[in-house]
Amino acid sequence: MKILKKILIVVSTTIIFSSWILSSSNAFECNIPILESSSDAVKAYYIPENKFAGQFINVPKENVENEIDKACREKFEELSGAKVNMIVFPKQKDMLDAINLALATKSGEFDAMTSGAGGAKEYGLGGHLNPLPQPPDLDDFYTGDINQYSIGGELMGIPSIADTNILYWRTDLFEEAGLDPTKPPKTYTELTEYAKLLTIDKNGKNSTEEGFDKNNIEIYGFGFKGEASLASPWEWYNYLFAFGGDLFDSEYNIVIDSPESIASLQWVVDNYRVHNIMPADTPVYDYGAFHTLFIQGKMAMAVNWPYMYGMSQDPEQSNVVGKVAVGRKPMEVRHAGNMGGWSWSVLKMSKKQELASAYAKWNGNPDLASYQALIRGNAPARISITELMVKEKPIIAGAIAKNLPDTMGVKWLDAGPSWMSLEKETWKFIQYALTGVKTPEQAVKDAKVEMEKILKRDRFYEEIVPQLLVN
Amino acid sequence: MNSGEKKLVTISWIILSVSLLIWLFPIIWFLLASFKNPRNLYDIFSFEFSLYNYYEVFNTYPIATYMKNSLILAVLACLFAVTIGTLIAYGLSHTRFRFKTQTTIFIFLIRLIPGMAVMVPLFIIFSSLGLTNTYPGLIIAHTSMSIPLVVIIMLGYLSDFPKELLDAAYIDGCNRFSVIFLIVFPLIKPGLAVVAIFTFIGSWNNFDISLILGYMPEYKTLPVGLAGMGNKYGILWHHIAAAGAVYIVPTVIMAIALSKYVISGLTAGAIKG
Amino acid sequence: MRFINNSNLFGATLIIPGVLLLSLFYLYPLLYSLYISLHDFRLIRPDLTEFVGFRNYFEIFLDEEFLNAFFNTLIYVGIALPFELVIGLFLALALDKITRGKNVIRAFLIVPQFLAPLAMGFIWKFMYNDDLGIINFFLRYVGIERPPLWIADPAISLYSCIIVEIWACVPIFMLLLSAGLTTLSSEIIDAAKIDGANAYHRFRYIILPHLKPIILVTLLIRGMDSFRIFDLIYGLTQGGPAMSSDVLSLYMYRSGMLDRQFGFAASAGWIMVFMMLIASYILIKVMYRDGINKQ
Repeated sequence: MKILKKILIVVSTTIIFSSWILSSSNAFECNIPILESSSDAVKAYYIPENKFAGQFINVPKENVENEIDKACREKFEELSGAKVNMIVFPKQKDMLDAINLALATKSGEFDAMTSGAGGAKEYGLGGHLNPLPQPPDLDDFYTGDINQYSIGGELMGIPSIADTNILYWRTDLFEEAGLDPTKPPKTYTELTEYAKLLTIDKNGKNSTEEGFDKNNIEIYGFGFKGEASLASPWEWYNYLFAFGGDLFDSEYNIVIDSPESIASLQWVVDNYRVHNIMPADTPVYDYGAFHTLFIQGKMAMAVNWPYMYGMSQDPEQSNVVGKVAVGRKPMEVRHAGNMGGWSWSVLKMSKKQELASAYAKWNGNPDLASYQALIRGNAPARISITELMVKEKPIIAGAIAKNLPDTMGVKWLDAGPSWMSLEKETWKFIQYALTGVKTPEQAVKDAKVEMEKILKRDRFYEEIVPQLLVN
Repeated sequence: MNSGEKKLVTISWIILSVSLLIWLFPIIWFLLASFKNPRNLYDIFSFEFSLYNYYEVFNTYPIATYMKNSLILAVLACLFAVTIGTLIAYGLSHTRFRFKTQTTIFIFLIRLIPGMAVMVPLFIIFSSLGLTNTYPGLIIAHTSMSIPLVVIIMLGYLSDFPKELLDAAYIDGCNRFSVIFLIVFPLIKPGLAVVAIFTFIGSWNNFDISLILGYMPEYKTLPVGLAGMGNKYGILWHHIAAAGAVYIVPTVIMAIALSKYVISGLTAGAIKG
Repeated sequence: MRFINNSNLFGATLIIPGVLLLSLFYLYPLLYSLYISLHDFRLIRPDLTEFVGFRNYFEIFLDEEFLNAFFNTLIYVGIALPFELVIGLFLALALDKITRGKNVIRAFLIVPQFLAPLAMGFIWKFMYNDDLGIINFFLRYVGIERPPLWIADPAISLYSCIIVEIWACVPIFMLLLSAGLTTLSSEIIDAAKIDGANAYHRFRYIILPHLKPIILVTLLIRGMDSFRIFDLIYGLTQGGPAMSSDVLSLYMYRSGMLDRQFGFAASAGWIMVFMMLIASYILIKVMYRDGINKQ
C-alpha cells in the first residue's frame, strides 16, 4: 500500500508538473499593422481608447481560447487598460445555455458575446442586444454576412469569421478510377455517378461492377453527417439550396415540401440507401466521425467546412497528405450553399456598455480577421483579407473564394427564438428519411405540420415577421 | 475441500477472469490508443508509440487546474457527505425522531429529481447568494448531491444492527455520542468504505451541476473540461483518448490503494460480527 | 431510562443540520419546478407566462416525442436492472469463493466506474463504429459478413445503449453485494453445511435473505439513476437515430433548453418523480411481503 501511495504521488506530480511546463509556451503576438496603416475613421472605430483602467467585462466563449484569441485579447487589454474575463464553455450549446440563464435571471453577468451564424439576429430579435454603430469600412464586409447579422438595417453583430462549405476530393482515387483529378463533378447528379465509381470494396471492385460486395467496402465515394444535431441540417442546406429549394419563401411561409426541396432530400437518401456510396453508420455521423473517416483516407469526396483541409495536410493526423484537392461545390439547378460564420455583439444586460461595445468592435478589426483566416484557416470575413489569403494560401483560399459568392442565408435563423426548435424538426425528418422509417415526402410533410405549430406557439407571424419584413 | 467445492472455486476463477477481460478491455484499449498517433489510432494492429496526443492535450487545455479542482471537490464532498449522511441515517434508524417518515420521503424525493428540472432555480439561488464560481459554493453543491445516496445506503447497513450491543454500551455508561463513534462507526466500516467510494466517484464524474455552478476557467472540473475537447465542430477523439487516460490513471491507483482499506474494514467487520 | 425520553431531541440534532443544508439547496428548486410545471412558462418572455393548472401534465401525454421517450425509458430500465442484478450477483458470489487476490480483482472491476458517463459514451461510440470501431472489426474477423449497425440502426440503438449501461453498472452491484456477503458470518454457513445443505439451498435460504436489504437498496438507487440517464446516451447516440434511443431526461433537456417549453419540461420531471415513487413503493412492498419492516 505504501508503494502504491508513492506511485500515486509520483504520477500526479509528474502530470501536474509537465502540464505546467508544456502550457507555458506561447509565442504569438497580436500586432495590428493593417489597422495602423488605415484611415483615422477606421482606427477610431476599432481601436479602444485607453480610458477603461480598472474596469472589466465578462465574455462567454465556446470550445477553447486558442493562442490567437488569447494574444489579441491581451492586446485589447493593453490598449484599453481594462480586463477581459474570457469564460470558456465546452460547447456552443453550453455557452448559449449559460447566456440564456443569465438573461432569464437578469444577472447581468455577461457583457459582450460571440455567436455563430445568425446568432446575432436571434438574440437581437429577442431584444437582448444593443446595435453596433456602422463600421466606416462597411463595404469590406460581405453583404450576405452583414445581412444575416442585421435587423431593420441596424447591425447587431460584427462579423469576425465567415464560413461556407467547400468540396473536397481525393486526386489519387480519381486517377485510379480513371477520372480527371482536375475536374471535380459539376452537378450533384454527376457527383453520384462519380461516387459510384469511387466506392471500392475490399476486392478492388467498384460499386457498378459485377460481384460488388457491399458488406465489405473499403472506400466510400461520398459521405453525409447524419447525426441528430445541427450537423445534418447544415450539410443538407447546401443540397437544398443547390436543388432550388428553400426553407421559407419571401413571405416566411414554410416551403420545405416543395418538389425541389424533397428532391434534394431524396438525393441524399438514395445515395445512402440505394447506391451504397455512404458509410453504413451515416445516421450517427457527427463532424468527428466524418472528418476522421476522410483523413483516414476512406472517403473519396466530401462537402464540409474549410477546417478539414488543414487537418488533412497534417502528417501527424492524416493518411492523405498531398492527395486532397478542394474547390467549388457542385450545382444542381443553381450554385448555392449555406453560410456560416461568427460575429460579436453587445448585450443589453451589460452594465459597461462602452467597454463591451469597444471589445465587440475590436473583434471585427481587419488584423484579427487576417489572423483568423491566414493562421487558423477560417474563411475570411472581409473581402480584402480574402485577397490576401488567396496570395498566401492559394489552395484553400481559392476554394473558399469560389464558394463564398454562392452563399445563401439559412432562414430558420430569422425565426429568432424558434430557431433551434425548427432545426430540431429538420434533423428529425432527415433522420426519418435516412433510416427509411418514413419516405422523404412523408417525413417532410409531417415536419411541416409540427413546425407550423411551433411558429404559432411562439407568435412568429404576429411579432417577428413584421420586424423582418421592414428590411 | 471436497471436489464439489473445488469445482465451484474453479468456475469462480473462470467467471472472474472473463469478467476482468470484459471490463478492462475498453479501458486498456483506449489507453493504448492514447499513445498512438492520431493517424494510426484506428488501425488495430499498428502500434507506434507517440506522445503527440498528450502534447496537444496539455498544450490546449489547463489539465492541471481541472484535476486539482476535481480532486479537491471529490475529497471534500466525500468527507462531508459521508459524515453528515451517516449521522442522518443513524438518526433515522436508531432514534425516535418525530419526523422520521417525512424526512425519509424528503431525502428520497431529492434523489429522484432529475437534474434538468432544477437547473434554472438552482442557478438562481446560487447566483443570488453569490456562490457561483466559488469553492464554497461548489463544495456545498457536491456535498448536497451525495448526501441522499449516503443516507439510503447506510440505512441498509445500519438496519440490521444488533441492538443488544448498543444497550450494553449504554449500561456501561457511554453517552449517546460516544456510542456512535466508538461502537457503531467501526462496525459499519464496510458500508462506510462503500459510500466513500461512491461519493468520490459521484463527485469526480459529475457534469451538469459542475457546469452550471463552475464555468469560469479556474473552477472547471475534469468532466466539464473533457466535454469541451474538440474543435468548434465536434469532438477530437485523440484528445479524448489522452485526456481520458489522464483522467483515469490516478483514480485507478487511488482505487487500488483505497480498496486495501476497504478489505481491512470488511474483514474487521466480519470477525467482530 | 432517562436518555431514551430525549431520543427525539438526539435524533433531531443528528438529522436537522443535514436536512437544513439539503432544504436550502433542494427545497426551493423542487417547489419552484412544481410552480413552473403549472404554468405555460416562458423564461425570457415573462409576459407570455400564464397559469394553466395541470394542463401541461395532460397535454404532454399527447406529445409523440414524450410518449416515445417514456416507453424507451421503461424498456431501458426494465432490461438493464435485472441483468445488472443477476450478473452482479454472480460476480459477487464468485468473488466470495476465491481466497487470494480478492481486493485486486475488485479494484480492477471498479475502474470503469471512474470514467465519467459522458466519456464512456464517446468511447463506446467509437467502439461501435462500423468502419473504425473494434467490435465490428472483430465480428468480421470471425466471419460475420454484415455485423449489426449498433448505433445507426434505429431498431437496435436503444439496446446498444443498454449494453453499455449494463457494462457500466454491474461493478456497482458487485461491490455492494460483495460487501453484503462479507458481513455474512461464516459460522452460519458452516452450520448449514454440516446440516447437509448443498450450495443451492445455502444460496436460497441463507445468502439471499441476508442480501435482501442490500439488493433492495441497490435496485432502488440504480433504478432511479438509470431512469434519469442522460450523459451516456447523449454521448452515444444523441437520442437518435430517428428518436429510437430517446429517453425522458433527453426529452426534458430538449423541451426545456431547446424548445424553451419549461412548463412541459418541468411537468415531465414531476411525472418521472411520481413514477419512480410508485415503482419504489411497489418494489419495497414486493421485497417485504412477509411483513418485516426494514427501512
